[in-house]
Amino acid sequence: MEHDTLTLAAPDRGRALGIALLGSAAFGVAAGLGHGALATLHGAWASPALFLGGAALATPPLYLFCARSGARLSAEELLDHVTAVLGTTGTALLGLAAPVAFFSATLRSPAALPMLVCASLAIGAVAVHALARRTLSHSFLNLALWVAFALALGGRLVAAIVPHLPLH
Amino acid sequence: MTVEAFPTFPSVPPAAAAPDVSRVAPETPAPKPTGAIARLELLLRDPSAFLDALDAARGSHDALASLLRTLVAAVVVGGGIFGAVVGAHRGGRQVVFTAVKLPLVLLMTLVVCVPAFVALARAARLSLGARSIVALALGSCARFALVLLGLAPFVWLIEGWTVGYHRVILAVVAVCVAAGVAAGRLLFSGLSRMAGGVRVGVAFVALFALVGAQASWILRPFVVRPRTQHVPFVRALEGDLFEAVSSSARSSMGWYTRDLEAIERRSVAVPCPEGSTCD
Repeated sequence: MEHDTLTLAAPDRGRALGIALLGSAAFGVAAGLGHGALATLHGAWASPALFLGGAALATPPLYLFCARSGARLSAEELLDHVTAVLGTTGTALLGLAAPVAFFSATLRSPAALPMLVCASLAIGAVAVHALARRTLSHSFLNLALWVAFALALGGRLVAAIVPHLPLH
Repeated sequence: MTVEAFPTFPSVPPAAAAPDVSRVAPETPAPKPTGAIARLELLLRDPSAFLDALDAARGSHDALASLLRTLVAAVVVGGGIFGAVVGAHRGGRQVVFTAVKLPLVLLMTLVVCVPAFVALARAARLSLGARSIVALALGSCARFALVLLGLAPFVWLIEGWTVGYHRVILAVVAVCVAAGVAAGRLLFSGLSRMAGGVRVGVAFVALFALVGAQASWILRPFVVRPRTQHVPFVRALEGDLFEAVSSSARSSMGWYTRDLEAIERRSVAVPCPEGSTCD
């Protein structure tokens, strides 16, 4: 099975992970900015926990799905794909921090928290889709199954994290 | 009568009789617009040609700076005049307030959205630099302001018919939606020139619309009832635009939602006079 192989050197992997961590932390800090210092601090851990934690939880099943579908993708190559997608997502989150901070500081409505959760899930869904297309594009059934699984995992993570946030 | 009796015209050489237009006037490229008005006309009438001009200006720092100045001026003037017309519903200080606030909404939206635009373009690996993204977003804002300027007489007409506060709000929102569609088309067509640009364009337009809506909400009021005595420059932060627009739409159709708690508070504060049913 042919794949667009992607081999990142170790510093590149570190850089991509650094951007992912920085971007998701900035996104979380921005989301908490309008709700006090405590919310800002909680945002700084909750957002990386959601994005990086979600990636960590969804990667082992992705490897199994790849193996099941007959993809000749080594664990290292798979890790490279995950890291690259995380880096791209981190860049997007870093850029989105400015609008999120603006909304956090100015939106005083019951819709604020659902909007933030929906935005986070939407960004996560785009990342999941991008990763699935890189690794499982040869098997639609496995792609659909893993995407559904990863999205459910994301929803479960949100449900676990949100009650600990002093946003509401 | 013989044929020789009629006067004859001198024969005309064939080449002179039917000049080859393509040889006489060879095709020359259309002159590039240089004046500010010509650039803005291009922005309004031919987005594709404007984008070409933007590409051409990218190479020269002076040309790009001049184009950006023109676009900022269009935002300030177009938005300001439309704001003045909106503020004229109440008149007085509100005309000045709204003339200042409307360009502010556009420029604030731009400032908030540009970092996200640059990051999204980088994430999607679009071959578009930060400077080009700023120019494209500013061009869209300028197009928005120019369409507002063009539709300002429509709002003024609606205000003159005294159709009511809620309908004036709906007219302003409708004009803003029309201007938003025009601005979105420019942004979208600029991005769709690149591979993968369509999806990024959708994200840009959605983000710009959301941030713009919120920026306009925090800088409200824009439309104020003519009988209002005191008008603040901005109001306290509460609620959101979408809730307010849906409430205005219901009210314009005569469906009012009663705030039962407020009515209860009022009835406690101001007791019913004797002999009155307080209905």
